[in-house]
Amino acid sequence: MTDGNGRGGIGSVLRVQAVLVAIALVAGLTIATVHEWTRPMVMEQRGGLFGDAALEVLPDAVNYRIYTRGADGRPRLLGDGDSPELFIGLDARGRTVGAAIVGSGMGYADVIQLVFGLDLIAGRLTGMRVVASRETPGLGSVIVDDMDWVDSFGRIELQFDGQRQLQPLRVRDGARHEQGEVDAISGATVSVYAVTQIINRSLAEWLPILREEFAELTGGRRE
Amino acid sequence: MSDSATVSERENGLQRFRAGLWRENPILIQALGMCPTLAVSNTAINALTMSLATASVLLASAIVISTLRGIIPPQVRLACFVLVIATFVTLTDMLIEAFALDLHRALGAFLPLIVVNCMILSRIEIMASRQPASVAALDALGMGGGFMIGLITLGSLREVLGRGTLLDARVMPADFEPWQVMQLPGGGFFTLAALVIGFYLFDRRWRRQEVGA
Repeated sequence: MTDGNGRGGIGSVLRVQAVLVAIALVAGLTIATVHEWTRPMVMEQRGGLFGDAALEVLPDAVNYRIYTRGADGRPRLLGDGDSPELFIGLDARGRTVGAAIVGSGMGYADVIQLVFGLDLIAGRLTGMRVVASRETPGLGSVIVDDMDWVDSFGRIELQFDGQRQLQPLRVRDGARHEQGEVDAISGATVSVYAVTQIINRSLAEWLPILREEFAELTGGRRE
Repeated sequence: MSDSATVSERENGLQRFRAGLWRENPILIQALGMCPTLAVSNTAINALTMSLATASVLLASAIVISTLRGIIPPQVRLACFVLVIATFVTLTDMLIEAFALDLHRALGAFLPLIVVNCMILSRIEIMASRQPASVAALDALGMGGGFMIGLITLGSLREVLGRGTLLDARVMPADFEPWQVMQLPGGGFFTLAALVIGFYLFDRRWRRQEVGA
């Protein structure tokens, strides 16, 4: 092969690369721009969805206060541009009836975002709703569609050891909900484990904060 | 040169537009893009949103690729096509999520799957990468329109028979017992088969009348 041919070959390869890189750059910039533009709208709508889900998982609540966490990790009331992380459910008289925690984690196809309710006095969950997911239709999507399974979270009792340390929820066929177990579903193994792990992680993160701050978060004792 | 070329270009484009709507309908004749056809055609509104999204992606991708066809090297044309299509699918996905979150939830994983819709890739490879933007755009409009006609007809039939409603408004008598099977994948296959047979019989009769006249 001559030098000329060699240079032509390299030139051709470089041209191919340049076109691909240029198209990829324009594509990436366009996607990033539209993402930045639409994200606040999506988050605003999701905020509403999280609130609706919070009322569903806190059966006695008619209203709520929304909290996020500050840089110090302590909960503070939601401000403009914040993401909701905790809903404190209030009944018609304004009394606290429980907490709904927002959790998220990787599912089978994409990130799963969910809200689950917590009754700290009774030591049990009061419900769970998946707010955003892209699990496989007909398989993993049962975490949204199978209402028997979704409603079973309202019967799950939290388990603590002798030192008041929370024991994580476990996935099991024929689950005993009163012993902190979640029903396994064949065909949706990854999605079910993902939901259980999200709840376990969120509980481990939030329980100490709620135990320490709950009296203040209810508002009544603070005012 | 330019006048006659423009006229033939326009005629060619209009011919492609009509072909996509009827004689080469992507769903009823070519049987392309069956995954969304059967998965999200359980209601008219799902079918409308899905087909609009697919048609928009096809139109935008066809115009961009036709415009860039002179600079896209043949060795990487498929990579470039997929890159452009995937960009428009992602943009469509984000826009639907921002402006119609409920519909976005209903369509779920099928929106991103538009990127592998073989109807789009085939139109890009056959038409957009070889024809001027005006012809490619008219071809995309015809194919997108044909896809919408097929999908919306399918969605409307399945919603009416499977739920007794059309666009969520009740159209069947109150004592009508919905055919649950029409909302399941089996009902999708059955309705599609009935539609294809009906379309074939109607088209054959029409052609005979044309020949007779």
